[in-house]
Amino acid sequence: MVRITLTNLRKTFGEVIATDDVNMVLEDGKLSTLLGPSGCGKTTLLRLIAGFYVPDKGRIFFDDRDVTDLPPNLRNTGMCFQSYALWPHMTVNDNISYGLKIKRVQGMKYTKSAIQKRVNDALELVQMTGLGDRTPHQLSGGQQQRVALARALVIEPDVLLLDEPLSNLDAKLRHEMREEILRIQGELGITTVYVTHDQIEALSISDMVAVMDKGYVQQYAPPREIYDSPQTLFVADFIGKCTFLDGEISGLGETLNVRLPDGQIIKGITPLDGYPFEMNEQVRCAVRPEDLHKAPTSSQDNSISGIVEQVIFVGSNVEVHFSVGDILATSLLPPEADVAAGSKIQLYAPPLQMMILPKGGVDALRKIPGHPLYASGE
Amino acid sequence: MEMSTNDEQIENHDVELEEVRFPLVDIPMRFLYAIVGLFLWFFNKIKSFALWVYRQFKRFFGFFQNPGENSRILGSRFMAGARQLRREMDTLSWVQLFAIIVVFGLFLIAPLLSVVFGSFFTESGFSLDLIIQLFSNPAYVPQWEPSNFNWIRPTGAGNVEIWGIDLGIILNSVYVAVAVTLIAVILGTSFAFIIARYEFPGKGVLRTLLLFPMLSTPFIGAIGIKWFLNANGFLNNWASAIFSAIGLEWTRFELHGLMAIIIVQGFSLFSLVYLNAYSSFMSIDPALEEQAENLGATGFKLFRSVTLPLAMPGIQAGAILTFILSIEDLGTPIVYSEDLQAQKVLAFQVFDSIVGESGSIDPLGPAIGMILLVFALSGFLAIRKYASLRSYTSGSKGGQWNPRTRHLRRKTTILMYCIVIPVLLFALIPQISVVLLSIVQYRSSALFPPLTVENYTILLNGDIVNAILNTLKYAGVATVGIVLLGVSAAYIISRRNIPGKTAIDMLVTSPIALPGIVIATGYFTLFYNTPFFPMGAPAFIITMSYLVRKFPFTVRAAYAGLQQTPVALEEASLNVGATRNKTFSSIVVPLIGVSVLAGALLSFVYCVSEVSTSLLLGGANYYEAPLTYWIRDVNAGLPPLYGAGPAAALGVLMMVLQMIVITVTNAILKTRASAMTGI
Repeated sequence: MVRITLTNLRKTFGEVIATDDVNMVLEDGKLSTLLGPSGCGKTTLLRLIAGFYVPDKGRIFFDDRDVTDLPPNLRNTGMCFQSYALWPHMTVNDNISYGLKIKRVQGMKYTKSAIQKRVNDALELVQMTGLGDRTPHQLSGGQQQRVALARALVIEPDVLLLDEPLSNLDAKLRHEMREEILRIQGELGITTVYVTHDQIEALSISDMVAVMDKGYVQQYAPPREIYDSPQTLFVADFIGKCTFLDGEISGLGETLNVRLPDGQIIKGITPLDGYPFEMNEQVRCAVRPEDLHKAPTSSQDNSISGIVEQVIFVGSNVEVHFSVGDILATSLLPPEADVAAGSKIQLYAPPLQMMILPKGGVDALRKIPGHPLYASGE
Repeated sequence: MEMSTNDEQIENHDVELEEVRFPLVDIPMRFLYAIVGLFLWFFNKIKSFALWVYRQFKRFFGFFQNPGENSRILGSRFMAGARQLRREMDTLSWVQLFAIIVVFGLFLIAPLLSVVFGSFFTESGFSLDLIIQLFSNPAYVPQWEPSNFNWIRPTGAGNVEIWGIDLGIILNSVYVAVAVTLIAVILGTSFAFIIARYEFPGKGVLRTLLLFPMLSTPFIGAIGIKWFLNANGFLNNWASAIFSAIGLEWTRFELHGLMAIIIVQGFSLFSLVYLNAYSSFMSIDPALEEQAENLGATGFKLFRSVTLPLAMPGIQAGAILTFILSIEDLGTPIVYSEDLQAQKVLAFQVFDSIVGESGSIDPLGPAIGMILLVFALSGFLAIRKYASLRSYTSGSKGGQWNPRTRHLRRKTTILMYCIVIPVLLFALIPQISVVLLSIVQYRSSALFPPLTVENYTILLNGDIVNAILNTLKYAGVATVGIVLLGVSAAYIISRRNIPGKTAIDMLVTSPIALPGIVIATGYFTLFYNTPFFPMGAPAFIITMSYLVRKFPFTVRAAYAGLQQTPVALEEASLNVGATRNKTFSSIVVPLIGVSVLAGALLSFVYCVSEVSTSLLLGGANYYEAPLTYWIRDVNAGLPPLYGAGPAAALGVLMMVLQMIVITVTNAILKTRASAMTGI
């Protein structure tokens, strides 16, 4: 088991910057997720860790060992490919034992019986006992996924790398395999890097989540923190739903005042500790639908009024879409709330739930002393 | 209610709508536009090529404007390249790469360079004498006299001879090749579309039949065609018999000179276009066509606006390959060389300039060869462009799909067969006639000529047995070399990200386009009387020429196999600790094995039926000469021992071998069958 340290990683493909300025420590035995839309550089980062790409800049450490220039076959990582990449010309047993036959422990190889034992153990771990003689195309998608997992785990890797492992499965199976991966990871306590574009998946299984966009790590934090205190507008938008209101800073302090174009003043706090806000700076206020209430909780609450456009019943709640000027806002109200389309509505948001974020995304992060991206460009 | 909204819409959009009209005047107008467009397109091509040349020159001379800075950039690029190389390559790859470069450098690049040199340097040093001499020779430069256009010539016996038009050797070669390409494109594309898009009884048989024209060499086919289409040949006899039975008179006709070359080549080479077009049609994502149908395009509109443009790169690649193979084909002009007109093509002139046994070369040979080389190389570059474009036909994602096919109604099927069968029969004349020729008695012109197996006694002739063994030996050794080097080359090209990869790719696939006679000429000028090619012992150099010339087939097949194998399968192997070499032997080779087998079979069969280098090099010592050399010798000899009959018997032997191989490889390669043409 190792701790993975990434410092100043950059990888370009020709003119395209796939990933840049990555500084992260993936802790020993934890499950860390790389989350982001397609093309955000998450798979590139995973393949850098696996050794299939060599970074243009920066280093990769497994504990204190610099593995940046080590070829993939010497890194002792176990990777599950999105397509599973099971060798079609080999049986399940052959697929799993392949790595063991190559593995050398202090210059010596495993005996036949040791290999068979380990293969059987691995099959048992993924609940596939007895299916060792099948060939990959005789297996269902979920079974193939299990074999791929067993193949990656059987060599006792230091790091488990999972590249969108569930994206080819149907919803029910996906849920099942998610539990399965979580169970195996917990049992083995192996440092795991998990790539996905599904935010629910990421939030529910990870110890740490790295949200990526346009090649940059936007935020690297535990799932709760990602949801409660998004550090960039992208994170706020990508994780969960948010209503955004544009405005400019009209008062600094513990709580910030933001003047909306129509003159309303909104009070809020920023999740971005240490960002040097200035007066009249253009900012954006973000509020989660569940933080807009029908009744005020205190006199400090911001009040927002608009016209209801649409009411959608989603079971446990009703989703109310209403327009504030040009902006379409969303609120999640208890099902007993009595609202109808076309009527006026007045909602209240506590200042502690009103998040104020600077514009400029990653560039804003560079202005925060102590942030991994701080002035690293210079 | 609905009507009224509709009317309202029309009302509202009055300005934006107009009536659908198609006046008859449009037809000639569109035709005119098409012609003008064709010319504009052509000039644009020339213009863009000129611009490209200009830019390259500018880049080259731009270097000297700021030598310090630029050499620093160049230096750092070089260092980056070297680093890249070190990371990507291991010992095995280095050995593979080195072997490929040595073999191709020695047996392809060097001889070609020596031909180019030979056409500019004489004993007295650099001179343009040879080129000037060539272009001042009236036989070469464009020329026309009224008598040349007289292409239908009735003979005294009441027959009609159809000749080509003699425009001078260089133009002859070009226009013959253009005509051949046109025939090939029309036939090939039509057949490919029918096979790719329609289901009908007998499709499987038709598919296999369509492959036959490609693999029989034009050399042997031409012998058959010549006999079959003779004024007293099989076709004329039957036509005349049928015509007189219904009370009409059939004018016996005969093909001669350049016209004969056009017909023979056109009907032998169309399967190159067919295979490439077929692969292209099959690799079009059905969703692309379905989307067009969804938007209202059907029938010809759909074909013209979506299907054809998507298949175009494949068709173009096949067409250019046809052009090149036609211009460099030596077999057909030799068979028709009794007509002086048929000798007036570039390929024959090169052949003529080399007197085999003595190894002496008319200095004009290399100069003519160089002209051929220019055509071939520009064609090859164009093929590369189109073949690389082909990737967009399979660019869309979504995994496996079933290609669109439609069942033909019975009536349509019959109608289709009414057109297809005569065309196919005509296309298969070379094959049919060679078989017939081999079993009928000498010079029989009866409707049902007496059959004989006498011709096959040629197979017992000591010289012939020796030649067959030679051929198998050369082709076998060459194929082993091709497989070893070809798999290596394909692997390096598709999997190793090294600088100069494209150059290697070009190097190993270019032999498909490079004229064999020019390479053979190069062997004579460069290697004659050296250990590679001792006087009177061409065995080694013939083997090497086979290896180099038939290399692309295996590389292409192996490459196609690699393209179909996801890289993730290899990465998974590296990931669990296997080295690159181990991955290569235990993952890559088993996965692409079948494709390589198909490629190797093709390479072998093409080696066996190779004509141009075999003829030229075999002449150095005919006891070491391969079978194709002897087929020509047998054909030129006198009956009963030698002559057309026994030559056809040998041709049948070769065809049997070829048919086995194409059936097997076609089954293996399926829709990737375009790999059979080497591009």
